[in-house]
Amino acid sequence: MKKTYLNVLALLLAALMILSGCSAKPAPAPSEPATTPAEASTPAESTPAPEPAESTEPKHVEVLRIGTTSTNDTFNLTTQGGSFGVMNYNSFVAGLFWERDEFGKPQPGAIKDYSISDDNLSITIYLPENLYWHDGKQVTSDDIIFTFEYARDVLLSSRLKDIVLTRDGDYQATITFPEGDSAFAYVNGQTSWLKIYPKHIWENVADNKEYMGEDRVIGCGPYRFVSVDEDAQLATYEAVENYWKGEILVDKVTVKSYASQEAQIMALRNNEIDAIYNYSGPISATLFPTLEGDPNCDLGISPDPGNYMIMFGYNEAPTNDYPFRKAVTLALDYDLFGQTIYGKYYNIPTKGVIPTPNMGYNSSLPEMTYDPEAAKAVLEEAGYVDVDGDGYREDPQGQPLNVLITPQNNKSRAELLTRIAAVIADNLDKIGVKTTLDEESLTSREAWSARSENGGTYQIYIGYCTSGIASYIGAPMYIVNYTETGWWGTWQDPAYMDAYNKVRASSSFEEYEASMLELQEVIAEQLPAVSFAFGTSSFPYRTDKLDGWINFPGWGVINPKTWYTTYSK
Amino acid sequence: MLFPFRGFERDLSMKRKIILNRLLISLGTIFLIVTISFILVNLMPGDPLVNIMGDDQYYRVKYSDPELLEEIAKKYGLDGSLGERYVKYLGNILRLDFGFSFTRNRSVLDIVLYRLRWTLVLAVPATILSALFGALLGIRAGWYQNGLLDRIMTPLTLVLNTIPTNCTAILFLTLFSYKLRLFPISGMASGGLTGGAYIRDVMWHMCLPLSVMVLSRTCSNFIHMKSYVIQVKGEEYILTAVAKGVPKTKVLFRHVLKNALLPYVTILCMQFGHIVSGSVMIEVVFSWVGMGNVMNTAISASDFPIMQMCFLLTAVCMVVSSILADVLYVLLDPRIKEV
Repeated sequence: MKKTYLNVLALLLAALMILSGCSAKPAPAPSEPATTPAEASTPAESTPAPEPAESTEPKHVEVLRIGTTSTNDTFNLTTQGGSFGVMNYNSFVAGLFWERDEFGKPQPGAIKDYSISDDNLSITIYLPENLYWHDGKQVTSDDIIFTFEYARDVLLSSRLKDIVLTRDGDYQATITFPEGDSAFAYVNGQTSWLKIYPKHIWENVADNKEYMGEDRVIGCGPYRFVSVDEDAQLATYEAVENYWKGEILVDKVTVKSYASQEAQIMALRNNEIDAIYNYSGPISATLFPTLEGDPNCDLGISPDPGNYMIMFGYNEAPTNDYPFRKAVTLALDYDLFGQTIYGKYYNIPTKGVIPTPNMGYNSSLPEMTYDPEAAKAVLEEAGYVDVDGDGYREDPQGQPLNVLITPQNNKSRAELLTRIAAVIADNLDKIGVKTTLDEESLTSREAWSARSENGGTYQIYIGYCTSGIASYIGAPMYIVNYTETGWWGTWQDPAYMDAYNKVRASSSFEEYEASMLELQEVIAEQLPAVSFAFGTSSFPYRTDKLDGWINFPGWGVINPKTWYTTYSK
Repeated sequence: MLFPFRGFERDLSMKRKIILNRLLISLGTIFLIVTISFILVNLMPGDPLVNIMGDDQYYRVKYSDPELLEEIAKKYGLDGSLGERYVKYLGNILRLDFGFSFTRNRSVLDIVLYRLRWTLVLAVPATILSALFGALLGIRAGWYQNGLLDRIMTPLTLVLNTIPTNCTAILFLTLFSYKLRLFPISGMASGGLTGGAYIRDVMWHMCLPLSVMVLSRTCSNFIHMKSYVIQVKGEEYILTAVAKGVPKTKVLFRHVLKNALLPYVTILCMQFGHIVSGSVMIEVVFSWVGMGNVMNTAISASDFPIMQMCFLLTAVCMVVSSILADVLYVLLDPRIKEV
């Protein structure tokens, strides 16, 4: 009897061990508006009271809860680290000079307006007279001058090395670039990134990164920083009263940091957050099934301005040979690549490389086609035949051919890049082209650097054009051999260089668009690169309580317009 | 010869001599680990300047203004030869100056101590609870071999022990947080709470990670303890004690337990050694911002100063736990005193 009793006691102990941590759920603090998961599961509590029928004004959002994978640990206006840094790309706490709209065009951010001189060398910035720093001081042209000086001297922007700054009045300043530069390109390139810095705070700070003063989070954007709870990885912001740009509908914003996209998705479904925002980090296609069919969530799918692509090496045979490049482009199974990279949400790419949502997308160019037989014929005609009968082709001189596939060295994308490389190898194997994966470049940044940078020696290079780069110069920047950027392009064909430089020298959107169209014609003709698929980005959000979301292509529903358009249902 | 100061030997008792000997060896071990970790971290692929400056700025400056790149490298102590950097690093460690994080814009000491606190919040109760559960259940199952508890717990713990902790963690997260919504999806606190509400909130957040850790470690502890008890139970002196009519409880506590505890203490000390780095996967799965999490992100971002301090701390913990095991052995095992 005693033994049985002890056995039962021991089994109870075992059960207790499994449930060791299970304590009662704590009561939510009155000050914390975010609901707990358990509370969120109760429909009556998660559904807001119906709005009175007579009200036509959009109802303010009390708290917008954003989930991100960036950490809540770096709060400093002059750096881009952590969730604070990436949230500022959305004209948040920082007042941006220029923010991008849903069509990809730069618009004035915290500034009233700007103009570019006829010679495309000067930018004049006009400030509103009622723009204030969050500590109450007025934003003036002194802050504009200071910002450019600070960006040049402290933040070490080489692009600003030779600028001339002019104070045109209390609320107006002009930046003049040296001959040969393009003010339009600067605006386009700095949109979403360039912030106004408060002179009165930063002028005496020697090392901006190490500065820990409380005023390091003072900006002039529509939101002011309130607090951060590092334990909870939760940052809180509140809207600035009477902000000069108009009525802010989202009164308060919380940004919670999650360790993974999986956790973000679960939190969204469990109503812990309202929307997901990851800079340049859309939700992986493998997670789509988790949200599909949920009536309260939208996947937030939008066409992706960025894309994965092959860049052919200009300096190496056989990729410097047009027929070989053409054969490769015919041998690629674009459907398989689309599924590999984007799940079911993709389109077959065109020969112009630049995806659909980008400014200057050339819709007149033909789609890529998968035709291995045509690829074989092209190779046969160009002299790439199997001389020794081993099943693989030799080059036109009869020498063995073994094409190196070099993926970009990128830790977060390594797995996908390896999968893409495997599909390329399989596709080329089918047309008798032997390939080798450049594993060294995949694992060692130094090896990859030596292979790809500054006029690289790769043959087939797999790279990714981020949506950020895509929005202002796009995939062609990764193709061109342009030592100023240090990127991995090798292409030096004169016709391509001319067309590329024309894009760079554009002084207006019209010119930019026209020259982009022309550049894509050259790309279609020369095939220096080929896109695997025109895909989509997913930044999911909840639809049950809030409305008025605007989904920016490749960016998501958290963007510079969110604060003014999102409202409670 | 491990103890170098022969002159003092005569003045020291045997126990003190052994402990002092171990301490000296440990100091040498820590020095070696500091050196090896410095070399390993600095030989890792990837230029930390890329993470400090960001891809765009790094490549632009690298080709347009290489001198500027050198200046930035100097500012972060990344200039000079490996040897020069090593000497500087040793000097800094002695002053407890672990530098400034490349990516988090804060002092490394602040970051690591903050994270360490949260790891200990999770790891200390997990170690204590699993040690207790493992010991109690293991003793019972070993003493009553083939009893009901043994027949249930042994296969169960063997199965659970083979499942990687991160799998159990994901399973718990999916079931209890996502499906049943009993616990939060991630994190350590809800935010905005103070006092008792804050403590209850933290406990609520630590339920799942703690359960997974306790479950995983208890399984391993149970298996060990059970086998030690069975082993000791088969010794002749136990048979003698039973034959002499010593009550069973007395045999268990005075003879079996005392001897079975010795190897168990070693296991527990080793677990204590992993207290800093042993919950990496669990921290990652539950977004528990502790040492595991900070090590994981520091490695991804080539944040050398944080990595070096994390490795140093891990090594110190291992060495301290090893000393602790030695000291406890000396105290618990009378045979050692006679060596």
